[in-house]
Amino acid sequence: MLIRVTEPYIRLGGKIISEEQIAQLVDEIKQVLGESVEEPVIERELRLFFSYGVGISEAKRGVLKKLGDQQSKILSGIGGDKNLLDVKDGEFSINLKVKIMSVDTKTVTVDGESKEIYYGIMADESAALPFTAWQDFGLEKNSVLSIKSAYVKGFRGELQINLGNNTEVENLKSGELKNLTPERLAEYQQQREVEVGQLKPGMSNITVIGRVINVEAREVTVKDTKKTVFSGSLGDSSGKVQFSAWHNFNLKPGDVIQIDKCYVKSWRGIPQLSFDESSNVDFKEDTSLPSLEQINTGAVRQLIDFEDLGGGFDTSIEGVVLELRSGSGLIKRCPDCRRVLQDNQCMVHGAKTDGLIDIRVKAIVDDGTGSFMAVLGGALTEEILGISSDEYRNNIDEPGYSDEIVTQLKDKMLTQRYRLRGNVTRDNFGLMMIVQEISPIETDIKLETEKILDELRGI
Amino acid sequence: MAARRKREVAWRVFAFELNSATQVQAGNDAYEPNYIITEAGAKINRVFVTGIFTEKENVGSEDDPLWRARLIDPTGAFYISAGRFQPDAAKTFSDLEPPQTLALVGKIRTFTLDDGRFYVSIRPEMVKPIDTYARNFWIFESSKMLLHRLECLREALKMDPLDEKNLLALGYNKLEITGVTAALKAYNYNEVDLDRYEQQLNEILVNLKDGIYDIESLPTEIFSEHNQHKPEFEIDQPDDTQIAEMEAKENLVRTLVDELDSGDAKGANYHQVLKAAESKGMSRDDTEECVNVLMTKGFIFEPTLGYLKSIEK
Repeated sequence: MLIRVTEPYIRLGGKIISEEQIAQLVDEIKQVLGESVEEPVIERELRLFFSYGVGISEAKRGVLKKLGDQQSKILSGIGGDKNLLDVKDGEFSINLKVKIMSVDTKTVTVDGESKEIYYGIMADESAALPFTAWQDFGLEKNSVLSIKSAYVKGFRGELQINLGNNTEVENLKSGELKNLTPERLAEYQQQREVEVGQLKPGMSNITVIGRVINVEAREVTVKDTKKTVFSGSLGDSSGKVQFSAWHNFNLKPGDVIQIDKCYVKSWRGIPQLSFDESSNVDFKEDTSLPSLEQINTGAVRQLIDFEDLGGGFDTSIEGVVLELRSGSGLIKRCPDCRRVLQDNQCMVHGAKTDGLIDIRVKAIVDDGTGSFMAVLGGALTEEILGISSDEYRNNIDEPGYSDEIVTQLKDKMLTQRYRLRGNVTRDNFGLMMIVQEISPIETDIKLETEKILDELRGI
Repeated sequence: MAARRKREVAWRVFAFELNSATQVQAGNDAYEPNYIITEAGAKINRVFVTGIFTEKENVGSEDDPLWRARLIDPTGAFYISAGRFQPDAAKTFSDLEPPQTLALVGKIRTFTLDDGRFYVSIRPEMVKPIDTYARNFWIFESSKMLLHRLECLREALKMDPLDEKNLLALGYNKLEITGVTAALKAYNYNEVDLDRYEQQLNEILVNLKDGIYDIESLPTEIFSEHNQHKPEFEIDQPDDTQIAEMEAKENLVRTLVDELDSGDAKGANYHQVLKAAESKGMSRDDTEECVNVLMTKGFIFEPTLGYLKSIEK
């Protein structure tokens, strides 16, 4: 519930802020944030800021920043109707229809007070997951429930459904989900096997089968304890993923392994597989997986796939360059921090007359299913232009030379089809790739056309 | 701050599919663009097309050119219109002489004439001469994508109700499924002749395989039919009043940016500018174009995401 405080707020300098002004500010902020943030929330936040005595523009900025950041979290985390198979770590406000397969109680201490909590396993037709209820909802084994506003937390790589203060539970007729019985629980808890190319951050308790591409042991310090992590990458015909094994499974490049009970973390949208001594790793002899070399070269992915996945490790994309973004061509970098200088100014270190000369490309590449920004560093850009760094360093101050470089890049790259390889990551502007390899593609069009003709005739 | 909308994909689409489309899906808010929905299940805001550039005409003035051009693909003509809002492309068209093979990326605009006829034109963002290989690859890729859309559409038509998960499981990607879903809402498929798309596709592929589209061996009559076919519509030729109108729109947007700028570092909220312009009768697309032109011309800039500021102020 909103707490309505009626006395006027005093701003610094002693001026009073009227209700009209607050209403107007709420409107303004609402305009920026759009429909997903509700007015009472904006108003509450504004009043909170004013209660600290800040001025109008500061309060407005503060609220915008706070709710704007939250909004992006809300948009990524909000649940809605879900089945247990699809829930992800950190989701909240999810609605479920489940059967309670088992329920037990234990006493825990929360904030110095002892409290009764309820835990067990719940299942729907898609999966079974452990749950914790932080208050007494009268849960009974075999009861079928409609649950509103539950939330999901990961615990040691396993997802848990949590029923808290905001959660509503309603008993449904027992006719629903009648095929689910506690006796058959083991079937529902069966591991879900996921292709490497479909791994999404937040997945847990899954099975992955892949061929180890490389692996190395590293010493890391976690909470003041030294640990050895075996990190590397593995893949199947659908893609590649980096992994961290927190246990020595004696993995070697080329090994085909089945990992049960692993989970997926994320680094800048790129899924990363994690597993430890609680996971089972089986080495497989006979397999239909592609060879190490084939996996390493990598299948070409479609950009539309990354709308859901967020990013991809060591990914190959084939697409056409449709645009060169400003910032392509010759640039100068700050000698202290390597940021790009604007008019010989670094945004952090001020005026720099001795900027480091560099060359790069920021290209929009489109594969017909989506687009991303490909960033090419100096070496790749030099290769495309066929010039050496000495050449542009010596000529950079010639009038028109920088423009000439951009023109040459456009001539060479626009409308050209390339195969690009690198990590696909996501930021606020969409997908991007720091390109590791780039090569123009030559296709045998007539041969490919015959294949399509056969497909068409098959309709 | 709301994240900026993701860049619209550039659809590879043949002229006959684009020109047969009659349905538009308008954006729900200022950030959502308009799409044209085709019968074969494409939901298009931007296209990547290639073809033979056969004619151009400056229907603007010498100082303020508006180039209209035609690009012929194996199935028909793309209508191109490049003016002050597409300075780079307009410059390219003033330099190029037909015939040439071009690739072009651009946004779709649609027009409905008084008699109800519906036209699609392309406002180019990028134009570049290409070689036969690049054009043939485009024909191949466009064919492949059209084929997959048609297959997806055929599968979807068998389903009642439409089951997107099932389409995914059949191997269609989300873009194809989104397009097909929109098409099923937009058209009555009892009245749409999908067979003609497959017949046309077959013809294209056979020709491509036989090297008919290779420019070296290009028999002139293949394209002469299209060359003689004059554009039927006059709507896109701005006369003096239209040019004056465009200028007025540009000026209005400049005024709005100044008016809505409260004087702090950020400037005017883009959303509010769009709204204010809408209340003065301007379409979202027009306002967006004006903003782009004003930015290109250096009158306004974007100090932070979603805000506009006048440079002189």
